[in-house]
Amino acid sequence: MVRHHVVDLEEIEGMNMTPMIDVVFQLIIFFMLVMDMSRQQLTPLKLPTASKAEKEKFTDETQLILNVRDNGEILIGGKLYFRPPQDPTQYEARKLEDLFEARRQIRAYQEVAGDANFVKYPILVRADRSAPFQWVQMILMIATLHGGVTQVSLGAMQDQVK
Amino acid sequence: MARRKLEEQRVPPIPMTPMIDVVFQLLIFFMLTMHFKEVEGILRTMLPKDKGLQSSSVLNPELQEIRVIICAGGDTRKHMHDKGSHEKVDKDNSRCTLLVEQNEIGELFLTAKHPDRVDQNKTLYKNAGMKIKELYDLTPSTRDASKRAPVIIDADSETPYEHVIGIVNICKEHKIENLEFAGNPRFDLYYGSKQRGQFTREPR
Repeated sequence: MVRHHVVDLEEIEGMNMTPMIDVVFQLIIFFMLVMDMSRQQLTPLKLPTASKAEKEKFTDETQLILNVRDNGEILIGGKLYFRPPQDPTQYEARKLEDLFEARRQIRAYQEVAGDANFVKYPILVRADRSAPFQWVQMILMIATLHGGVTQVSLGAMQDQVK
Repeated sequence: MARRKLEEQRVPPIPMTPMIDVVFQLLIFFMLTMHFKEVEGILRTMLPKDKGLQSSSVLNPELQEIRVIICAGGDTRKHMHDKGSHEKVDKDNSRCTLLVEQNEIGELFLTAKHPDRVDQNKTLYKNAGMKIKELYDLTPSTRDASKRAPVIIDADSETPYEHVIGIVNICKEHKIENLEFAGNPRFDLYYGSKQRGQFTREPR
């Protein structure tokens, strides 16, 4: 009986914690890096391809990125800002209008305060390749009407084969 | 003999398990990060400064234009500039007709439904680009004779975004910079009427 107990203790002492710690550290590092890389602004979409697309690094924090899903939903920073209605002529985009109004006011302020980045006012529309164009048109219209935007970038995948 | 046994005990074999763990983790890490490495780009375009707000107040309107039309759902919109009443129901967008002014270029397919038609679409964009360039070189602007008339992309509501990007891209290839997007009459109902949103104030 006593002898059996001793053997058990030896086995417990021999348990190796190193691999588990390794794995855990690796997992921590993995999630830290992934959190940093998956830019929250960019919704996973199947963008259309274009051979003339310029490279974009998404370093500009002031850039407003609007993501349009193939069903017409518009997301900004992972949040749903617009859902297309059943009847395409009856729609309500107050959230987007509010956003552009607010941005125009911030810009008007920044023109006085002198933050050049905000005066440039970059917006980027990323739309799924099969998204109906009307929702992009709606964004452009609201941006012009409510936001006073004059420059817009359209997201596209770079096409390798010309 | 006993001494040799002691030495063997002192130098244990290097445990491979942690290394394998780490290597596997690294492998998985790189496999997953490869996914994010897709090259994403942008196409820069301009929005009108004097349009869309109050069209009546434009002092010197542009009278010439090159209109690129993309019609959805088997519609060919033979009557140009006649948008008239717009349908309430969305049209089928798996096939679209591409026209440059009155010239029919061909039929574009939704690549999500017809993945085999990607190259055909590209050829059509290219053909349209050649036609656009031809007209562009022939049509001076009425505002400024040294400049060219704008190219206007007039796409139906249901047109897949990829076709619009295809045309924008081909115009970039031909170095056509004054590109415009036509408005959508569906939204005129909302913005043209008195029942507009909470922003009745005129934008700058």
